[in-house]
Amino acid sequence: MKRETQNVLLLLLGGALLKITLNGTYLRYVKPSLFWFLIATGAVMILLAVWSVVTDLRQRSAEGAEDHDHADDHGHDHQHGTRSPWMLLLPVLAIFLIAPPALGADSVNRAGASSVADQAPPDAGSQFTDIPPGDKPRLKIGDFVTRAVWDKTGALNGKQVTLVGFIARNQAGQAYVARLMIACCAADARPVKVAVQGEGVEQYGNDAWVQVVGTLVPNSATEANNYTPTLKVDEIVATETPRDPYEF
Amino acid sequence: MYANIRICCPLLFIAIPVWHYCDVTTLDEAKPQMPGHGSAGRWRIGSLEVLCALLLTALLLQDQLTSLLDAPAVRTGSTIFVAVCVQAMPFLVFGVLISGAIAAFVPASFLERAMPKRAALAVPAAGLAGVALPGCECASVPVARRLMQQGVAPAAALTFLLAAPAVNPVVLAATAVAFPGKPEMVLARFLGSLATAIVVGWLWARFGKGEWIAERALAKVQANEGQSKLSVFFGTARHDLVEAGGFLVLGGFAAAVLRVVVPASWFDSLKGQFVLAILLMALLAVVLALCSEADAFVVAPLSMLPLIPRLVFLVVGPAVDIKLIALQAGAFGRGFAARFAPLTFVVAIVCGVLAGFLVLGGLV
Repeated sequence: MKRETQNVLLLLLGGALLKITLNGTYLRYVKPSLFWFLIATGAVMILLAVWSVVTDLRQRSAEGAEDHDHADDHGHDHQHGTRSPWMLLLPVLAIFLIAPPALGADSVNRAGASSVADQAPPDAGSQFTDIPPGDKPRLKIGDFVTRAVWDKTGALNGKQVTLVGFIARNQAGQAYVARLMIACCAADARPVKVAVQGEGVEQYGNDAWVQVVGTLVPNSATEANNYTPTLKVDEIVATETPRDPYEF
Repeated sequence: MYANIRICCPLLFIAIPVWHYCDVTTLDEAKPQMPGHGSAGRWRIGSLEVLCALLLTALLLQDQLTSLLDAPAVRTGSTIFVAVCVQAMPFLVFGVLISGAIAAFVPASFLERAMPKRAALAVPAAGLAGVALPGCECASVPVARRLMQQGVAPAAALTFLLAAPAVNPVVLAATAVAFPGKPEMVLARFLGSLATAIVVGWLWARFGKGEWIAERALAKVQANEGQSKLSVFFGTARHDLVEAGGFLVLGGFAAAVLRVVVPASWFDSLKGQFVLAILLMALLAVVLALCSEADAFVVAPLSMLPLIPRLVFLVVGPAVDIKLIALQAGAFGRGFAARFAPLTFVVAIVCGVLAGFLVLGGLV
């Protein structure tokens, strides 16, 4: 592949990275903490491509019409050129044309039976995230599940809480409110989910984002159901997809 | 259709100067390459023309493409593909910048003096040096290649390649966070990975043949006399980025496809099957191609498995996985990857199991 083509590809890829970082869609793929790294990465790619273009052009004009044999500096990419840089086009097209959505119900159903709550938090009790004060406090689904399974003090029993997630139905038709939890990027996503029961749940389809208010059904998370607690829903409303669709 | 036109317009603004640029350069480039065909090369279909045609086709068929990819499994796969690429690119860029800096600013004589002469000593030294590169595996491939090219013994450079992504402080800290209350897991991972890197290095020093590594891997980026150091730095970094980037994307693609195809129920059927669990976790580490900073978070919750199979996953993953194999084939040649990947895979399983028995003790 010619050097010019490589430079164009590099520009496109750098531009694609900057675009998704600046407009926030990068949160569908990676953690927010990668923001500055992605900006720097896009900038370096563009810098390297522009530097190469400028050097090429300057060399042309310096040499002018003179028929000078400069196979040395330009032969390199030809002699050892591989076709691998063509692959760089794939993420560019994927980002600009398809802009894949954040992982959703399909990933929840695809995941195995493992649960975040399989492992007891060390020193049970002190490791839980505090429940925010006030009426119907908003909890992360991951925190809710961990507490529902391991909190022996029963802090959640009889308490109305608010959860935000998307609807995922399994093959048996049981509806869950779920989120995906990521450590680094979407490739390592693990689902956290709460079974929901109550009126109004049935009108929402897979991947619909909802805000639910309800109470934990005590002792509903057992080893037999892979530690998935059940929430008795008092209120369910549609909500917008949050800017950051994942939990950490 | 309306959206297509909206995208096409700004694209034209880019395309016209690009076209001009390629026009100027192709003309000149064609001459020394094909004497006598200079004028015929004027409208030859080159890679740039192909690229433009591809981009245009993709834009025009955008709606059809999007609806074609609208199956849930394909959507999940494409998200994972983009995620792997986006996550890995910063590390790759970091790696190629280091690679460029080594080529431009570190004289070969310095490295020769700094490394022990005998391979038996150089290998463990390179393994420990891996502690200093806080990146994941994508960064270490271009760096190892540049070290080799600057005269470091291949065995030592390969040890560095295996050690750097697995034993650096960032990865070890992530492991400690993922396994709260089990600090011995961090020690076991450190020992298992370091042992893998050193054993593979020694084996390569003893049995490895120079010709297995593709010639182009060791060829210096041609430095013209009078070319400034800065220019060598930029040139090397750009060259490595374009080349390794392509292979990284290839690896990410393979990982995304396998992720959708391999059923997660593999994990669930492993309760109580120790040997099978070790083998399957090692295979999964290759297939899933997780970043070494994230893999601990993925296996930590699999409490139905004993710790040793999970440790094997953590030792194998940073040493051999599908995107690393693609990167290595690109950097060192296919013949190299075909020998190196199976060797590393076996050594990593053995070292992981041994480190597990030593540190964690028994079938925990």
